[in-house]
Amino acid sequence: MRLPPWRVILAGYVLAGIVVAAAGADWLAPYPFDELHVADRLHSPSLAYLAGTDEYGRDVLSRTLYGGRLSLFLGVAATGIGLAAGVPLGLLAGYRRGLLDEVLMRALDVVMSFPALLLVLLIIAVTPPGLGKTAVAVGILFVAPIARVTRSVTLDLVTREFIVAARARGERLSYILRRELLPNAWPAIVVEGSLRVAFAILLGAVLSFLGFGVQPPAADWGLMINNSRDFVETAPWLALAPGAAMSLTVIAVSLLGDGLREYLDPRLAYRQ
Amino acid sequence: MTPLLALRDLTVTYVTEAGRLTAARAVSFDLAAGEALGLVGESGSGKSTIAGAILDLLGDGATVEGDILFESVDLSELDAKRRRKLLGHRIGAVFQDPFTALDPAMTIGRQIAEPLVEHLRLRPKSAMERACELLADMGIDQPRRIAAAYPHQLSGGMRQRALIAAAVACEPPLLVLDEPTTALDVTVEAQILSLLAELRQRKQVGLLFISHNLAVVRKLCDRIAVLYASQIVEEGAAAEVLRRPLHPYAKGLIASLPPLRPAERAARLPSIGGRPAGLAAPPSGCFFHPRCAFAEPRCRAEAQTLLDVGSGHSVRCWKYDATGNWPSGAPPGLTRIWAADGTLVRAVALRKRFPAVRGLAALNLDWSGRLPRLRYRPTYTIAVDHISLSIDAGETLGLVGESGCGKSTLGRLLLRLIKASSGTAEFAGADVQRLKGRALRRFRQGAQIVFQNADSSLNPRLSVGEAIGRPLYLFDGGTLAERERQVLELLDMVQLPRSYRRRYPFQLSGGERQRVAIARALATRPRFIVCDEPMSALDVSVQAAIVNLLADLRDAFGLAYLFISRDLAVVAQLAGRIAVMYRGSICELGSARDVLCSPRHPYTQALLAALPQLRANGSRAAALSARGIPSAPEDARAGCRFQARCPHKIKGICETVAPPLRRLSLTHHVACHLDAPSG
Amino acid sequence: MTLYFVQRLAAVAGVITLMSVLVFLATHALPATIAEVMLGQYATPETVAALETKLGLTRPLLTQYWEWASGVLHGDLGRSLVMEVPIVPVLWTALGRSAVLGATAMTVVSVLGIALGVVAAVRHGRVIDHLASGFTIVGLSVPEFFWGLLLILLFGSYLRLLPTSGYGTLDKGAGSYVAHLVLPVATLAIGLLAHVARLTRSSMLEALDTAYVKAARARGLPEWAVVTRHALRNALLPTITVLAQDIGFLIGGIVAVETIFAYPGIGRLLVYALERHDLPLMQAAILVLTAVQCLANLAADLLYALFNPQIRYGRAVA
Repeated sequence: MRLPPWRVILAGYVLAGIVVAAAGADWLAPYPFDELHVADRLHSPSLAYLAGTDEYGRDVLSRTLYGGRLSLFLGVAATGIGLAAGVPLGLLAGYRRGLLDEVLMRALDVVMSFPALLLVLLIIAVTPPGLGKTAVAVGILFVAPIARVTRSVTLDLVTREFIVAARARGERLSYILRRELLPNAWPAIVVEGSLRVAFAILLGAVLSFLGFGVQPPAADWGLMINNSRDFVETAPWLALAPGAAMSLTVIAVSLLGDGLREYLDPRLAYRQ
Repeated sequence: MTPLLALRDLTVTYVTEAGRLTAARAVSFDLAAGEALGLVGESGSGKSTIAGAILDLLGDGATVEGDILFESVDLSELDAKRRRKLLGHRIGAVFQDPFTALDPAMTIGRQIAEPLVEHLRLRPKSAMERACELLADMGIDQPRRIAAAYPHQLSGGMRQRALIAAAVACEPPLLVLDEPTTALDVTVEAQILSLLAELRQRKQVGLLFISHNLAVVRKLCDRIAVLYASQIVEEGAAAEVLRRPLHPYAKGLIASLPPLRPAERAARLPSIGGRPAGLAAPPSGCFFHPRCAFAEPRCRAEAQTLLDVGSGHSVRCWKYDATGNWPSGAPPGLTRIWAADGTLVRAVALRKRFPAVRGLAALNLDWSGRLPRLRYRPTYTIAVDHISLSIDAGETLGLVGESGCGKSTLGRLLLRLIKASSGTAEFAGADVQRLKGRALRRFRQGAQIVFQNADSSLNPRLSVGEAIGRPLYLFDGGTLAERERQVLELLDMVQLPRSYRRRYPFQLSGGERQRVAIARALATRPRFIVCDEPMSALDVSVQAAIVNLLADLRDAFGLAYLFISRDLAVVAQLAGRIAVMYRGSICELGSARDVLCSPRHPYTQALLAALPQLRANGSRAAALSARGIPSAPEDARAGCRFQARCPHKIKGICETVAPPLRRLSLTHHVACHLDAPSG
Repeated sequence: MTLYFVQRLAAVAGVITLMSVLVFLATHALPATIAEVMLGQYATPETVAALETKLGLTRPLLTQYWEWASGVLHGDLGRSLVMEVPIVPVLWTALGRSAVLGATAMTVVSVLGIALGVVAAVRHGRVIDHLASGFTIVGLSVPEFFWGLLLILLFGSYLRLLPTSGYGTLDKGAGSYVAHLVLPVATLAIGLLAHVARLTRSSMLEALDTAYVKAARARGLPEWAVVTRHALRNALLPTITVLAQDIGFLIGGIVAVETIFAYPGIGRLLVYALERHDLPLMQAAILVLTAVQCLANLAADLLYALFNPQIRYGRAVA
């Protein structure tokens, strides 16, 4: 196997670092995320508080580390839901065609006609808040693009004769989907999935920013940036740490997805 | 006389992940003005690289050394701007795939006019006029209409004519053609070749014709250069080289071309074993020696140089006057006579139509009158139109036709891979469409298929052993050890080394993948195999070996084949009976001898006449006219499907009544009004 | 071609209707929840019941929908619960302001983005391509609201050059109007620019790899002609389609940007409605925005059909 391009490797390491930092926040964070240091409110970055403190005296660095958890969880959970529902739908629709495919395509068209943000806002606004709910809402939103990508990869694969050969052996539908189609479709799905993770993190941040995602006092990047708006002139550091963390995460995920797309290009399937 | 084009030690190297790759090695040849030189080679021989080097299309990754002298000017020394000025103006180029070589967003006329505006500084309007004139020159009937059309509206043959028109627009003295007819059907190919011959006569254009097809090159070219693994191995007058080749590779290549004659059942084609030499790490000494039937130790030790043997003939082999004919095909070890077991496969009035356009999209605004009208016109493509035929156990039926005639569809209908619109397909007496449960399983086991494209017929994620083992698992059961043993046996049967069972498709060559596909089909112990153009994607030198393999297997297991191909010569090798198909119907059906030696249907005759022949015979039937090339799918129209192109059409009946398949003799059937019994 | 347009228009009408139903259902299907949510901590069975009756939530769903839908068709989107004024004029003004924002951003971005994409593709693998790709990734990955804050910091706080919130009405002078637009447009434009550039780049790379580009070069056409006349024309097609479909992307951006800069457009109106559970306003805003996206998709389809000869001139000629 060829070595992946350096961007992919770099992005992979950065992402791994972020995941470790978030997962190990309990040990890495100098302070608990909701601990108040009222005397040191709005303290600019210093040795004690490496990224400064917010208006309640909470350590920004610690909150940023913990915030990673929520964002990563959202990204992975939402994408996971989208994949779990979208991939089988896409495979089935692309392989079987017919009525199922027609209905699915119409439904996808409708769902994708909604501006993404609006759809999620709609779902969220009419139900009580909570992180799990956001993940589910975004996950439902993702079923459509994931199903669509899976379907188009499947359509492409179905013309390849090894699928016809499988039918000529009388293979069952489940076998063809599972062992012939899916192993050849997963590169495209992985690429789409990684891009979805990035999108989910961004979407989650926007939602929190608008006040519809995670509620205070939880530590969430979008929420932190939202809070920082009032102090933009007096305490600019409030926005910098979470903003930088989020940007770095999304950049790493996007780079990974982009690099994977080039690396897993099926044109290179027959390297000689 | 200075040659028009002269290559001196042209060497092209690429740097790839696999290391340095020399695609062309010290290639030298001359092309005089008005002369046609054929550059013949298989895939990986470097022929396209040479074209790319002349036309400066190789890109940055390639290093070009040596001289490319055009009208005594060294192209490789010129700066990009001056070189570009020569391209299109003094050197024209035509490439292989007419389906992708035209800008889909621009009309034909504009694309032809472009070089005129650019190089000859014509004004756009005059350029368009000239473009229409050029199209007319190419034998196109309504040049204005074609000039205003977009590429997707034209057939392959039309597009290639347009591309040729664009290439000769500025009247260049040199035309470089890289496999210009490979993607076209035989009858269309014949037309393009006559066009090129005529152009050459009229305008005294020098042609550098690159192809893998020896017969085509013979038709058009004065001289031939044969390429193998980046080197020229033989060069000389076309007739001479093809009649008396001196290099073993050329001998093998020519010998392995199937003749257009029905073959004896026990006959096998001569073939060249092994794989084509890799360009990254070519063999030591003579590049061809691992596959050469006359190799000696000296061949491995010494690199070979081009030796001049007089009258412009040169060859890269020290043994050239000591080698005889390429060894003929080994007779099969075992020729069992299989008792005729009755009909195995039968099609009765089988019909398949595909909806092309329907529903909302079938509503059209008809602009042909003064006022636009709304019409509802759902259209169907009739892929298979009431076909009946039968294949006995152990028999091979060849199915021949051009692209789009429905032969693949017919094969798949017989295997129940497509649902028939009407009619029945039978296997061992049972209606295939109605089978269920165990009977269906037995059918699947007994009837298998081998595809054209070995690349896509194997799952890239399964190893060879896994791919072959799967049908064994499905149908044979047995223990893992037993199945593994059978996999090894199958590999032996298709003459692949046993170690290949752990390899993956991307590690195999095209011919090897096809063998794996055949082994996989054999694994179920079928009685009938549909071979859907299994040779088309393979190199010529490999085709013969696969044909022989199929013949051996047929004899060893008493297999029945439906052998589908566009190449009549290959079909002639294997088939006892041949069916000729045109746009969904069978126009002629008979024994191989009947069809090849005394064809009665005008289409069969045209097909045979159009096939470029390596060993020419005199007769030449009228070439099919350019008119009436089928393009849009149509509904079933009354009348013979061939009548629009038929040179012997009888006005009236041919247009209104579809001729039935009439019996001419015990073995020979024809669907043509010309052979109707009088009265 | 005309028929294609009619077909697509019918499809759009269908989708919008379907969506109005969805929007309606989403907000009304669980009336208990809506009223409870609206009352928040004041929700007791009595207050919930009272609110439901007041809002007419106890009537059959179909009646409610019909009333609302027929109102919409007559151009009446209801009354805002919180502001207690008819929605249409408020929405219309807000939409207009957002349109200005969006259109300005799109215009700036289109030319620049396409140019950047073309240059990156033509100079594939060289420094400028890597720079462009880097910029693209960063531009797409950093959320708009962060860019917005950074810009506010830079231009608003440190440089004190531009106003960072609100809207300058025209009667206060064109200068004020433009000044208030600059930062929001700039924020919106960064993300869009990255998107357009990346899309154009990948379409161009594909187009430059085709056989017809190779054939055009072999005819001795100058590289600029090959790039613009052949490659670009074909590359723009898929770009246009995807772009228009990304109106959803733009709308999301507008919502965020308007919130940061307190720009009184439809995005901000929507957030306002969501925060205050102003049902009719919520419905109306979402419906309008979704209709905008549908129409944008339609426009994209039409443009595509117009410029793609394979759709425009279907039938085979020879």
